[in-house]
Amino acid sequence: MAYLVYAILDVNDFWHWDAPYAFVVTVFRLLSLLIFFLTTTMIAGLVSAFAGGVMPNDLIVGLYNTLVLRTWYMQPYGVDGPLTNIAQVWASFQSNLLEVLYALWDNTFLFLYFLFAGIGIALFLQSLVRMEHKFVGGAFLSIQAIVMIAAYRLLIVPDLDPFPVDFVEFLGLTAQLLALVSFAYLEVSYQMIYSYSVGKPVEDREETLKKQLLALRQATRKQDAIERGEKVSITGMSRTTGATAFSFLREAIERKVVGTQDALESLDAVSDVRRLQIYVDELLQTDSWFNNNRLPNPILDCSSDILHPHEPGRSICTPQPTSWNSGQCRAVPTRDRSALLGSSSVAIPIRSNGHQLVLKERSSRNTQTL
Amino acid sequence: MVVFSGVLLLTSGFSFVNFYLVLLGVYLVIGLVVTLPLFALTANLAGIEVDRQIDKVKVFSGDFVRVRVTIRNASRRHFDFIEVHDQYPETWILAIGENFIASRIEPGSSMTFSYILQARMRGRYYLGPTEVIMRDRLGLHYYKRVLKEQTEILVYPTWKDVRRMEALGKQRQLGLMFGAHRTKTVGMGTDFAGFREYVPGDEFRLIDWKVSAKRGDMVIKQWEQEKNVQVICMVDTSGSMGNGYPENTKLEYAIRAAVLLTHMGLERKDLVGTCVFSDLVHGYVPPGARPNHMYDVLEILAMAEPRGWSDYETAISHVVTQSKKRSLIIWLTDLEGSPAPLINAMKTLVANGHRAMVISPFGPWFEAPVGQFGPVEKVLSEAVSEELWERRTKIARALARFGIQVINVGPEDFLPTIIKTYEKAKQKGVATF
Repeated sequence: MAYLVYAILDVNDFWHWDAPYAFVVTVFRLLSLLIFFLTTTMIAGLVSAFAGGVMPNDLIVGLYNTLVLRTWYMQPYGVDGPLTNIAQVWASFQSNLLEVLYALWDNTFLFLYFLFAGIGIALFLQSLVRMEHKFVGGAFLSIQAIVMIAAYRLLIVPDLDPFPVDFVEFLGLTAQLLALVSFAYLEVSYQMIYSYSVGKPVEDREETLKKQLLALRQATRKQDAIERGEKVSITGMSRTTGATAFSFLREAIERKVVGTQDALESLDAVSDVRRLQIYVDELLQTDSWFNNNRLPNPILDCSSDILHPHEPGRSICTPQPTSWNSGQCRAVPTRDRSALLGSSSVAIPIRSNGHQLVLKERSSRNTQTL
Repeated sequence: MVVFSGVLLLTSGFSFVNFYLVLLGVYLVIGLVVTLPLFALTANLAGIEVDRQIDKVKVFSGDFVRVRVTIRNASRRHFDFIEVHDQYPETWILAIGENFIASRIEPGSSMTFSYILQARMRGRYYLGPTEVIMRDRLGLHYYKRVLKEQTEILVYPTWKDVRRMEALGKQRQLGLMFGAHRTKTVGMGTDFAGFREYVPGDEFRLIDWKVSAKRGDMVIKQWEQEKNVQVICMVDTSGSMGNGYPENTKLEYAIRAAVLLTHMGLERKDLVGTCVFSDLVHGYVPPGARPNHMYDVLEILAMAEPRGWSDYETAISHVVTQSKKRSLIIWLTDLEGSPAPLINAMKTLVANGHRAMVISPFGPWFEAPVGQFGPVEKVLSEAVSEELWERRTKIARALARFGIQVINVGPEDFLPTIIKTYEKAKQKGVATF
């Protein structure tokens, strides 16, 4: 699409590599003319205020030669050497200002063609990586914007003028082909984005969950280590021993910092993290137990649907840290696996009189068909 | 994006009289318009079944619940892209996982996702509804349906106070009876209590002749019997009890106190009942020691909501009718209702042989700290506090005539006070049976 736009607009002969440079130089020429004008005005004001006289012509001529003629490159305005008299300077200034303004008008469009082409390419490259509609649409619009701006400048642009009466002829026209290719680009890109967007959430979900579980595990380890007065390390440790240490910390906090609301809130937060870790551990252990003992088949992941939302036939084996689930990777036919996972229930033990009270073990189920 | 592009190209084409731009705009608009009826024809979510499972229907506040959602395509067609958002109560926290999934689903297949929620704040909650969104391949059109089906979960008051108390008890190696003394009644019983001198009127059979012979004076042998106490906790749920920071209102503290009291009572084989009332009696669990007693109490406390006004008379007549045994009745009320009905209620209570005491959360201590107020609010709040304090002093004086003590509590000493009150009742043997 970009090439077609380039080729069709090439008849206007404006795709020169120095176009951005010419634009920048033109802008600075205009600036140097403005600086010259402002400087002379300021100096004239100062001279009349302090000396009460007229500014010497030599100064104006010198400023012009320095600021305008010699700033960018030698004698840019078709003059042979430095100007020597004031009348020449003002005549040159007037004609150069008009010339530069016209050149700027011309170059601005040229600059915009390059700008939109650059934006289009950048967005296209982004769309390859990010796979989002806005990048594809942006790339498409940027390339088409070149044609729009060129049309505004009344240049030769792809057109169907005169509009053909023969349909076959219409189909073969360059402008029609360009329109078709542009539309096809959008269509194909959107299809690709669709394929990507179907698979990506599942991967993202797995990634997020892994991060969450890892963060949870690390938070618990840190608590354990701090409570035992050790340096925080990444080595694994038993949750059982950690829990004992944890209870002592709790007492210590309650005895020493007792009473303050903040201390109790921090205590609750620490306790929540601990209980969440235990709960997640129990869930994962329950599921991996099923995987290891009931379903001796090859491949597939070995943790629960908390980690992997599953679909029939899906077989992604994601390596898990061994602490998350002790099982090995096995294949689980979805139907069996769903049934087994569905049967797992967890009870939070509440100890009372040395006996474990199971809060609730039955499942609740709600089904609705659309 | 496509609509914008189409319109932009069309308008540009017309402005610059350029058929290429017009044609491109037409392609885009037609692409959009043609796909709409095609999508509308296929936009039918019949056959998509959503099944939500939870592992517990009753949890404590602060506990975690795993929610499993299964989406099944029971139809013969595939869905290019569906998104499923399962909604959960606003006050809850999504602890692990995500409550939505987006994918393609083939005919006859299913996909399952799970997430873990932390239940916050007691009460009755609902998981759901579930929102199912179907999109076309290009993402140009979508169709949304909301499945109204909800899963009910009852959230009990928090169990953290009990856990904390148990943790401290265990670490001291003193067991759960630490700090509690047996209530003993000298007289009947089988445990030897001691000797005392004979006084006229004592039964002859109680004289220990051997000891009397040794001492040369008449001595009575005494026996003692262990007694348990019966406590009824009256939780006021009138509208004013709902004042204070969320999760730290007077009512929340009263409920936590009631849970703690019931748990301690059950641990020590005492009978503790709970009555939840405002302008009517919302629930009453008579004193008992059944295995499910704790859950019955938790259930009525879970449903308590601050509303209405305090009708002490109705509440006490309900309790007195149901429980004939002498009991210690602990009122957890902010005393912001009319004092006359309260005094009448206390008269009824005392007339029926019960003992009572009032543990009263003082409103201003539960609300915004005075330091956060501007000068005007500060003056106003101090004026209100003084008036309230004066009022409750009068009420306390009136109740003192019936031997009923009023203890003013704030958020920090609410729970310690209830523990202390219970242990004092045990020591004194108030309302034994």
